[in-house]
This record gives sequence, structure tokens and C-alpha cells, in this order.
Amino acid sequence: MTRVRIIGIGSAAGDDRAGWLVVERLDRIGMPGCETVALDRPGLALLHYFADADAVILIDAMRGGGAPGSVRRFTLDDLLSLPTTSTVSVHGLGIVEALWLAERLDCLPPRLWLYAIEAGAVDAQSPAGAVVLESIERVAALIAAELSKS
Amino acid sequence: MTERNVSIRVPILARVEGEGALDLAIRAGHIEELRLRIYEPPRLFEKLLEGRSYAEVPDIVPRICGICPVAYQMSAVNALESAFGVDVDDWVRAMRRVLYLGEWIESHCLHIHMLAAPDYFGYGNAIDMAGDHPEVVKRGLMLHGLGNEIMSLLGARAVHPVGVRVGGFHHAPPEDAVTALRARLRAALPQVKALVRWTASVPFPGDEQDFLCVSLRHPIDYPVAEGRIVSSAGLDIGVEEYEAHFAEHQVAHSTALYSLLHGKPYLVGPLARLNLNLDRLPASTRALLDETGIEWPSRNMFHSMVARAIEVHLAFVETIRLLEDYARPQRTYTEVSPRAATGYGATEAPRGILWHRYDVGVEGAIKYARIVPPTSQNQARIEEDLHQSLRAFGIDHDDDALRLHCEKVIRNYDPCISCSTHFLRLTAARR
Repeated sequence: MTRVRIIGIGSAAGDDRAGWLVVERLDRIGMPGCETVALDRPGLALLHYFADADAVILIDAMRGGGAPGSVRRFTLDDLLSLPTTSTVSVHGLGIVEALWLAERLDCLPPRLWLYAIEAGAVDAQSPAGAVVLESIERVAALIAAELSKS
Repeated sequence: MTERNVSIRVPILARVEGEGALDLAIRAGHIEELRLRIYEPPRLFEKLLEGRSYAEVPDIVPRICGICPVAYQMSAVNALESAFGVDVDDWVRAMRRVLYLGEWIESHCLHIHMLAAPDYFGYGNAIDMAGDHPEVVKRGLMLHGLGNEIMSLLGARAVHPVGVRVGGFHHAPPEDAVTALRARLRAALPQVKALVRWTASVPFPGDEQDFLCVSLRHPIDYPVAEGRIVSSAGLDIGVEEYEAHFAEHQVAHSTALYSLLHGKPYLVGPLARLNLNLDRLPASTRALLDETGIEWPSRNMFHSMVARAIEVHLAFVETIRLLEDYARPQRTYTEVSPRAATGYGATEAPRGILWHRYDVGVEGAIKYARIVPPTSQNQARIEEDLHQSLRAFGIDHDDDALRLHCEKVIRNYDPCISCSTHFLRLTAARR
């Protein structure tokens, strides 16, 4: 039985809630056999959630220059070919850095992919914007469909 | 000796609303300009809190910092409970200490392994270091994970906060979860010892400086969630007296506000805490400290890494002690009756004293909030350190060497720069 963990990553800042909201939506749909987790800026702690999982699906907001609400799916290889944001982090760890670290420590899950939703406004303590809310539905449906096929 | 004019700008993106940077100009062999601006106090959050109910404050303030949400909650409830005259009971006090120590473990392990260690082993970043020394980084990650578990046990890290409230906690963890975690913490103690010994073996630069240390002080315990404010120059005040001694000054050459104690820069954080509280260490931690071969109190900021590792050991020892014979209490919180009042609170975040003040109205709504984080308190000291360090290091080095040295000096302070993307970029201009 494949152990799937779905991790929504984000913060309370406006559209940065996108990852949490997708997880919330999936919880309402009901994903039998999957574990769902919502994390607030986990940084290094993300690696702890790779343990005992055959597949990990990450969901996060991104700043990729696209239209707010646009959705992209990244494979692990896609992610590992992105530039890490810094050579010397004086603060937390970004997702790409966390994945590289997991790769070096040999603790990546067998399968991992990420859904990214382009963020519009990320104001502190704000709710997510309307355009992103629509994308949340789409991403949740995509994930549900993907997992029902496998 | 060749004289160079060097202008280095190290932009460090500080917050979404502000930018940080280190500007360094050297002319004719002298440091002509050294301007540091790496942290803006959370003014936006101070404003956001106005008009909100006191009960919402512990849910809002942990958003300020992704790395130390618990610290923000603790200083907030400390201040609000003092405003309302609330005395929390021993169970709450103990569990708050455990929760906070979980955050210390997480934060210190992150810093030691991901930020500080690569410098000393000649790596540009922790990822490259992990490739060559996976066992060191794995140990750090394992200990970090246990800190994370302690925090999760008491409801922190939850996206919708379920843990801390004014007066205590919303819930108590079940006995079996506590017993299981405590056993894992005990099993990890040899690794924690190994961590301390490893940090003590790191070849640190010798860089003795004179600086003022400031921390909390408690009659019995190593200071975490409560205490008076003391300094190495003899200051000993209640947290409510903070504003009479510590003041922010606009420095002439910078837009930053620097926090000064009686007009002087000062240090908060693990090295300051340890220097001022050597006699409050548990016996086993004290024994490890004595083994390091370092003379304490230390005047070398590079020993901060060892101070952090020592605090990780203390955190494990104390958490194991506090969770012994755990039982769920009858009540997880004390009832609170808000009143119009001003409350002050200070606790020791991983990076140092975090001080909060709230003016509360008759209905329990926040009228005014002031939050002074540790990193903004350290800015004047960091700048002073950079001046002294660069003089000791010598400025007759290439730009990359100068930049790296500045970064190492700044990193000793584990400055909380921001949860947004950041990078270090050197642009050197000759003039």
C-alpha cells in the first residue's frame, strides 16, 4: 500500500496561504490512504515529513513572474535544477535548498512532486485573494485525480 | 603596503517591507564608513494588533517570525498576564518552559549546522558540507527533529494555533505521548553530548573584545521564560523598567534605529545568557562546559556556537526533568479578567531578550503594542564588532575575503533576517 503524504506549505500572509487551503480542500473531499499536513514556513523541518512516505506531494505559493493564480507542476528533477536562493542562508531554508539537503543526506522520498500557485498579494495576516482561491479548487481536483489513477 | 579604496555593499534583503544591507567603505587604509541595517522591528504587526482583543494576541504574534513563533507567544502572554494580574500555576509554568526549550533546540540546531558550521569547515553552504559530512548534518537534523516534536506536543507549529493562550494552554498533551517523547529525548542525550564536544573542537578565530552582556536572570533556573533583566555592568531591573534604561536612537549615518543601554551597544543572545548565568546550569551541562577548555565567561563572539550547543544540552536535560511523572492537570489555564492596564513581558528567545509592551483598554482591546526583538537590539553591537573585527583581521585582503569575514562576524549573532527570500551579493566599487 503506497503511503502518500500531501504537504501544504505556506504562511498567514495573503496568497501565501494557498498551500494550506489546498490541504483544507483535500480534507473536505476526503483522500483515503493519504496523510495531509499543513506547515507554517517549515524550513529544515520539511525533511522530517519525508520519513516513511512512498510519495510526497508539496503545494506552495510561488513568485515565478506568471499571472496570479496560474498553476505549475514541478517534478523533483525540475525542482533540483532551480537555483537555490542563497549560498549562505542567515535564516530559514527554502524548499529547493531543503530538497538539496535531503538529496545529500539520502532522505528524499522515492517520489516527490510539487504544485505551485502563483501568488498575487502576500500581505501579513490577510486572507488569500479571489484569483488564488479559484486555483485552489483546480489544484485539489488535479491532485485527487492524479492519486485516484495510481 | 598597497593602499586600496574599497567600497563593498552586502545587500541582505531584510523584510518584505524593508531592505537590509551592510555598506563598507575603506579609504586610504581606514574604515571610512560602516553602515549596518539588517533588521526592521515589526512595526506592521504592532499596528495590526491595535484594536484586537487581548485573546487574539497569542495567535497573531507567532506570525512575526517563522523561526521563533513560540518566543513571540511567550513574551506576549507574559506581558498580558502581568497587565491583568494573572498568576499561572506550576503546570503551566513547566509546560511553557518545555515548549520554549523545544524552540531553542530547533533554532540552535538549525543555526549550528546550516549557518555556522559551513564557515569553519571551508564550505560555502550547508548543502555542500552535508555531501562530505552527512553524519554531522544528520545528527543536527535528528536533534532539530526532536525540538520540533517537543513543540508539536504542546500545539506549536500548528497552522491554526491550538497551544498557548493567556492564562495557560488550550489543551494538555496525553500522558502516553509525553512518555514516548521523553524516552526518545533520553535516548538522544549521547548525541547531544557529542554535538557539544564537536562544536568545542572547531578551530575558532581568536577575537577577544569587550562588550556589554544583557540577559534575563532568575533566582533558581537558567533564564528562559521569565526573570529580571541584568547586565555585565551591574544592571538589575524588572522588565517593566526596560524603557527607562534601554532606548532606541536614530544613528546619524543610518536610517536604522539602534537600541542602546545607557547610551551603549550591548549583546543579547546565547553567549550573553551563558556568560551571565554560568551558575544556573544543570550539573551535567556544567560538566560539559568545563570540558570545552574555553575560559568562561567568554569575550570571543565566535564561541557563540559552543554556547548554542551548551544550551541545546541544557534544553534536553531540563525537558527530560520537567516531563518526568507527567500527568494531565485538572485545568490547563487560569481564568483571565481583562482590565485597562499596561503590561510588560520579556522572555529569552533563541536569539536573546524579546520584550513586549501592551496598553490594554477597559474591554480588553489592545490600544498600543511595542515589540523589541533581539536582533534589532544587537545591531549596534554587530556594527561595533565589525569595526573591531575588521581592524583585527586587517583590511588588506581582497573583497571576497572581506565579505566572508563580515558574514562570519554577523553570523555569530544568528540575526533573524526574515522569512522571505534573501541572498548575499557583493558589489565592490573602487574609489
